[in-house]
Amino acid sequence: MTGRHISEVELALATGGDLGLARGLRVWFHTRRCSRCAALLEGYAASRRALRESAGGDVMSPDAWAGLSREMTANIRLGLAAGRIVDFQSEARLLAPEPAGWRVAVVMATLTVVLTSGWLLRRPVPGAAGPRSSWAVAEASAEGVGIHEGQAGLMLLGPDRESSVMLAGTSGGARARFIDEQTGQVTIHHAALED
Amino acid sequence: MNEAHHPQVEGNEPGAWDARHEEFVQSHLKRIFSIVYKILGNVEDAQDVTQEVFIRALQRREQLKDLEKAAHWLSRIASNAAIDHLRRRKRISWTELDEPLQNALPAAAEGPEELLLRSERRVQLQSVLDQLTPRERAALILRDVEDLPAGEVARILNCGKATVRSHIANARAKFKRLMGAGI
Repeated sequence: MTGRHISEVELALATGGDLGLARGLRVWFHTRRCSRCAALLEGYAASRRALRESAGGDVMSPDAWAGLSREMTANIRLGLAAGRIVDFQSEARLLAPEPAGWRVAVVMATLTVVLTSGWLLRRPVPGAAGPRSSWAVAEASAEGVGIHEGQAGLMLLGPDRESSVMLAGTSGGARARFIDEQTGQVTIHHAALED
Repeated sequence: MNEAHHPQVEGNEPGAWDARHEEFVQSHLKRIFSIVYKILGNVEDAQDVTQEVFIRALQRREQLKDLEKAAHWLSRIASNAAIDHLRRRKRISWTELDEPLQNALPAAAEGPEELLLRSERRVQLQSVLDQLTPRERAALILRDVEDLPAGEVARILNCGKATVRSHIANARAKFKRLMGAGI
């Protein structure tokens, strides 16, 4: 025996070479002279060998593995296909307007802003009476929806996303629908003209 | 256990099955199943978890373009999925071990007595592994059976090197004590 014994933790780590160089050397020198620690170290080495023998190697025979592998590959393939269907359905659900909740509040707020802006644009300007020189036009473009009348106009710019739908109606309005792909939030811009 | 060839997985449409998916699955399936099985000790559960891991991996193909990362990432999510599975179930029924063991050995290599002996050793091994915490068990399997370096095990288990050394030391000490007790 020599000096203080090596701790069990250090012996356990030394078995797999998981100690640093200095501590590993200390364990090595110590166990050369200390039969107690050497026996403990050998015990750890033996249990590690038993673990590797019992758990190591292939899990099953080649034939059994071939069958299981085929089955798993087919299931993975099926799972991927099912995932695509679920994604598609989620996408379709996102395109449909939500009936309630905070999304409705967002849509209503946007509509209010658009309608107020439209009303302000159409408000008679003092001293500007006379024959009408131009028509108000509701417009839907890749940039967003808006209303133009002569030189004046208002454009609600939309996000530059593929998941947007632009609609220009014949009844004097334009709508744009955007879907935030991250949150699933649907935003509808509606620019409408009123007589 | 390590495959020399790691294919790239890229494609046009997410989720669409093609030859690269097939090659990717076949290149890694055995290694990943083996890791998961040794952590779970149960073929049916290992099959479910392995399939889930590959489906998740193939749904995130952009993370698999780098070959080294793909192999490492698969090991990582497989180990974590197995640990999560253990946590969810807490107690695994090891009685199902008999089923894979019937298929576990090459037919010509061992006779009935050796088969029985090996079967008993495996049952004892799983009983001992069952006494470890999920992270200790994963650390022990990855380090001592799969022969991964401690740093790699730490990355897979998403913890520091010191923590993983602690798991490994605890697991080895428990394993030695329980095997000595003949559990």
